[in-house]
Amino acid sequence: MKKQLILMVGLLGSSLTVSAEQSLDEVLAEYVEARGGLEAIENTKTMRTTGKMVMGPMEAPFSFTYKAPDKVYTTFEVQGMKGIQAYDGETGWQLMPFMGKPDPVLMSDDELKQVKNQGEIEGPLINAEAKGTTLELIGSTEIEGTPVIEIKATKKNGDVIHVFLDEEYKLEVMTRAKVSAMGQEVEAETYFSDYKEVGDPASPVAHSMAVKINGNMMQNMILEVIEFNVDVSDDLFAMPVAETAQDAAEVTD
Amino acid sequence: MKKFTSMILAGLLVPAINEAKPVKVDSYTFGGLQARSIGPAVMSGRISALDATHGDVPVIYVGTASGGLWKSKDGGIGFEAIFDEHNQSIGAVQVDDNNPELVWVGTGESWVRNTVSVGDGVYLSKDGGDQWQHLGLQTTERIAAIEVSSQSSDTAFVCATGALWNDSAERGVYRTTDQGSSWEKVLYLDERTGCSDLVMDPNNPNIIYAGMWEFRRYPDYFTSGGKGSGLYRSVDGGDSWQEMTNGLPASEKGRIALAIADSQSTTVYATVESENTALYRSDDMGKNWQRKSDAGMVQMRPFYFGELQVDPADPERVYKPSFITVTSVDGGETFSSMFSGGFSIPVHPDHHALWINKDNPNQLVLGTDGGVYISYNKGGNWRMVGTLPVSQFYHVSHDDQWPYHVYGGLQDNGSWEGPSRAPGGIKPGDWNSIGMGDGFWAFVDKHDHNIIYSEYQGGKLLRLNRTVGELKNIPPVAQGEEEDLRFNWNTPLLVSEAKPGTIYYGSQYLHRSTDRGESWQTISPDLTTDDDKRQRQATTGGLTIDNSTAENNATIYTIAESLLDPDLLWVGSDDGLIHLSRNGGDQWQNVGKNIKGVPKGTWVSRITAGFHNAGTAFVTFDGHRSGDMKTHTYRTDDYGHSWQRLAAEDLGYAWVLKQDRVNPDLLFLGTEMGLYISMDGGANWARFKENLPKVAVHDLVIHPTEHDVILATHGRGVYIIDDISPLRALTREKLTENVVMLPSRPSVMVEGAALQSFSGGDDFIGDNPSEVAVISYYLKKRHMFGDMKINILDENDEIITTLVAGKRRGINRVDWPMRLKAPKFPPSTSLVPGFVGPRVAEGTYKVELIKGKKTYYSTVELVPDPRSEHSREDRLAQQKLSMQLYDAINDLTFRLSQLKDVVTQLDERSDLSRSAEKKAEQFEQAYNDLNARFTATKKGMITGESKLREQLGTLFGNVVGYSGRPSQTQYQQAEELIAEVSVALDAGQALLDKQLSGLNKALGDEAAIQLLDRATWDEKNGLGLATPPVNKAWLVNGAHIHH
Repeated sequence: MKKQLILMVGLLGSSLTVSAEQSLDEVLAEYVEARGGLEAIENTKTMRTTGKMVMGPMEAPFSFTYKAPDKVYTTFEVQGMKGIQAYDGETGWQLMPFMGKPDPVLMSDDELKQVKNQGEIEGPLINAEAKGTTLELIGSTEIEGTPVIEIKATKKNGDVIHVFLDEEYKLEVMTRAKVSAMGQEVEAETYFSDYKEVGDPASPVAHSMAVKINGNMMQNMILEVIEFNVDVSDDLFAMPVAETAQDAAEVTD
Repeated sequence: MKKFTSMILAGLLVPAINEAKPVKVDSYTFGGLQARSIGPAVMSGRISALDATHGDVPVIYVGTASGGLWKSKDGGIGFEAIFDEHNQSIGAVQVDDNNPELVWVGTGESWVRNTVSVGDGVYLSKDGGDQWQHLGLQTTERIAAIEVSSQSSDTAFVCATGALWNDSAERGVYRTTDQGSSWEKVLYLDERTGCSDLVMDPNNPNIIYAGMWEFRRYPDYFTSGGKGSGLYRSVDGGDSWQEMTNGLPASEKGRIALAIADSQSTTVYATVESENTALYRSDDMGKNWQRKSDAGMVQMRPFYFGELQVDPADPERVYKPSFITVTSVDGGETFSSMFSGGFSIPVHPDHHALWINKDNPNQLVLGTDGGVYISYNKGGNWRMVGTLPVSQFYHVSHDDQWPYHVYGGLQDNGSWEGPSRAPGGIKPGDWNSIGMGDGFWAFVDKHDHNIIYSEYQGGKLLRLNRTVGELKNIPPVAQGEEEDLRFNWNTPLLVSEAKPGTIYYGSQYLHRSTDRGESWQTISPDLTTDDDKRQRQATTGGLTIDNSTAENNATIYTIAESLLDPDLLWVGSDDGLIHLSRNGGDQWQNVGKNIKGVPKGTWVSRITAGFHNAGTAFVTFDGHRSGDMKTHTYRTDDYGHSWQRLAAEDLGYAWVLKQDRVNPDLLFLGTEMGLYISMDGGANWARFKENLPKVAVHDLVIHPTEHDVILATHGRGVYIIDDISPLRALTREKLTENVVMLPSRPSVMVEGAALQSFSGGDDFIGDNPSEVAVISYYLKKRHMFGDMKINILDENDEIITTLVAGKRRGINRVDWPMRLKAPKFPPSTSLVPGFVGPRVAEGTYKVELIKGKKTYYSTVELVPDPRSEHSREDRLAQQKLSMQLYDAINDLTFRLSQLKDVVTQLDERSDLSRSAEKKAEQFEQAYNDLNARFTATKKGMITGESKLREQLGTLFGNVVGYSGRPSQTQYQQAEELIAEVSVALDAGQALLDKQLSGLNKALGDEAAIQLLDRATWDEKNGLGLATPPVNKAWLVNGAHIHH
């Protein structure tokens, strides 16, 4: 499988040397191919990942679970306590037990918007037209010295995300978006690396993400296990009633 | 098929072609080597232009003289730089009132003092400053104003002051009607006359007023005024212009400033420089003018204070920013100061820009030589903005304490010193004023850190007793037959490193003192041209005399000594001469005459001696004061007999070039357009731009023991590039390798941290260096595929921790907090101060970089804080107790997790017999009781509940948070709590012993509980050994081995 990836990547790299200027459609076609093909992308009905968030000297184990079309469930652990953020397709909720509040609460609009964005796991460039996202090829530039192609994606709700694809491999090197928090806008950049093949048919998935906010490194996310199309119950995503919330917030291992 | 085949072939060929290419050295090669800004903002710097949106919370744009453009979205509390990759000299900023997302910027300050920078045309942002488009007019050099039509965002006028030091046709008034796609010069007089100000009638954009100004600056002279100057008006949208003369001075005029009364736009005010400068007023749209006040502040320095504003709601209220801002409430007849009579002022003097909120004229924003001030009561009182680190340093030096302090002088802001790091960041209060006036060179005495030398304009030399705060004036004066001493505005001072106790000072002669400036010897003849034609400062200024010493010329400007030969001295002058003495000043040779390719008389901006060969020196020439903007850099390796021009031509006019102390091929060049680095002795240059804007670098110094490059920027304060050891090791040969492990300086295990304070968002806090260990390596290409991580190993090759690796092309720097991971705590209802693990002991650790299938090695050295008052034994004692508590916490957590896991397994069984269910309930109850005995379980924000877990966590946090020996009380408490952990472990084991076998019997053999074992738990939580010990192929720091 790895040989396929290398061949695929080699082909993409060579095609760049053939055509210096590409149209948006050509870039997108190569991007989809680099991601393992549309079928592999669209066949993802569920995804479950575990890993760790690293913030300076602190580490926090986290998990992320997705179920099509838009359910997400994220946990992270601090000192044996588990924070949860989830969206069940209708309701966004979170549980933050760290200050003695073990009951779930509804998310703010800003938080809800972010958690909904997490549900778009295929990224803004896939099936953009169907989602009402407008794409614009900005052109070639560099990210940290790596040649990239910049594509601007404007979503139906007006949100803008800039995607920077490695010019050679056509995979994401970085995305940049404005994020709203507490009514203030900040710029979030996510750098992708450590691509490895996952699933069958295989597609390359970044196992390392570095997140900068307003240019300052905030956290690294390391994905240790990624599983596609595993059984996930809808119950996981539903906002629990207060009595069961304490259990949900406790880490068993 | 054909295309597919060609793609494969191309794919096969690409690697071979790539290998043949030389490795590109560019800004990204420096990669993760970042500059950090330490400010200061406490005195800020010169503000040249202002504009803002109107409304309750204005979005404020601040244009600075040489520190770029800044934006505040919160009404002036916090500011962010939004123009860092563009020209940093801002002449005008204009928000389009039709659409406040459209922001126009004219570069090139028009307050044409001797040290003013240069611009490169007009920019437009359509998204409030996120992105900028250059719209041309590149050679206008400086722009005083931009006005946008109130009826169309496509139509704008640019008031181009133009070149300061040479004739140029690129000046006057330009118009665009297509938002900058094309320009038309609609008002032009001659090559010496530019536009000084421009205003547009807010009710009729076809009516435009422009001040035209004839002016010129030379290295030794400035003149304002001439036949070209005049006040012009267009009533047809700029198609035609008429000079307005009725009531204005008939004699020669100089700089003109304009303001229009928004509330009554037939009323226009103008300050007109002439032999008797005054304010003029017209109430008929400029047709007729009445002379009004000629108060001192109206007449003062028209070339520098060409700003005028009218209250948008009151046509009789006029503000005249000047040395201080004065106000008229009677239509310009009289002015009074808002600053208590004029000189008891809470605001920095020298005012250049004033913005008044149209929706609330009580609110003013004022730009000065010392930053931005905001008033909420029409100037009755002011708040200084503390978040604009736009200080304009001329020079920088450092002392040798740890952490070291930096010293330097600034434009109109005296001299300051501050630390290179401080707990919680470098705060305004960490900086101390050490001089006065316009500061330039400042040094600490090599023998006594309590003594600081500084200077102010025109050669005034000071010695400060830091403890007492007393200054003594110590400049040399002419002795015997000597001519009157001529001191440059920026007089060179050198506190000798080669001969501690000696200081050098330059007039037209070189002076030496060996008694801290109490007495001086002249150790050279006149080392300048002594050309009378270059000594016109007494008459400088034109219509308004302005002999501030800014135009002093035919003076020594730079002094250098060799650390390899203390008697070797180099001297350069502002009129193009370079002299060398090889015997401490007894004899001098003119060696500058051997230099070819630089125009005669070009200002020698700096000489620096090489660190590796006594005959080596580097020289920069700066011709911008005669219109030559080229980069002139030279080196000699034979004491000035011959000179080699370095390959740097268009990097901006040059201020300083220095050779690295360790790697002779590594050169640092500061120019008006940023910092440039050459890794091959000057053949190729790349701009250093990691966190460093395109700002003028007037001076730089390489710290001999910290290996930092310290930059004096003229517009953005002091920057530090921490530890250039990796750059030194990255030789041309190494650049071709895929991965190179690079050395870092020993990492100091810093003690102490910031104490509690909440200062709000109104202070700029300078960045600290990384207070962790830094692992450095070079990647020829960005890492994209497969794993890449870093392991830190101890002396037994056991992995202490795993770090996230940097993946970028070029140099990467990865922080290791020098700690184990945080201990694992049992679930609870409260947090405890145990977010980080214990610090490891000082010493050398092994670094293993894993990239795909290859592994690379280096080492990292941890050393104690030089200030530490703890003995090594005390630090080790702290480490030992930290580890005991760390282990105790993990033991407790494991035991409770083991029991909880049993409960979880039981919960997942849905087919339990009644007997098994009963036993399961008993077990869960017993677990809950045990858990509640040792961990906090009360719900609520502040319960005060503290059980074994919380007590242990708190003690752990306290012990880990102090670097020295724990207290006896802490030892005692640790002993008790660790004993209690044993009790908890035993209680857990007893529960298992008592109930598990019965439980398993009820469940049956096949469904028996799988008891969580410690090794599995350790590995799952990253606390155990994740991988086997590695190959022991250890090597010297910086080398590497491929596996």
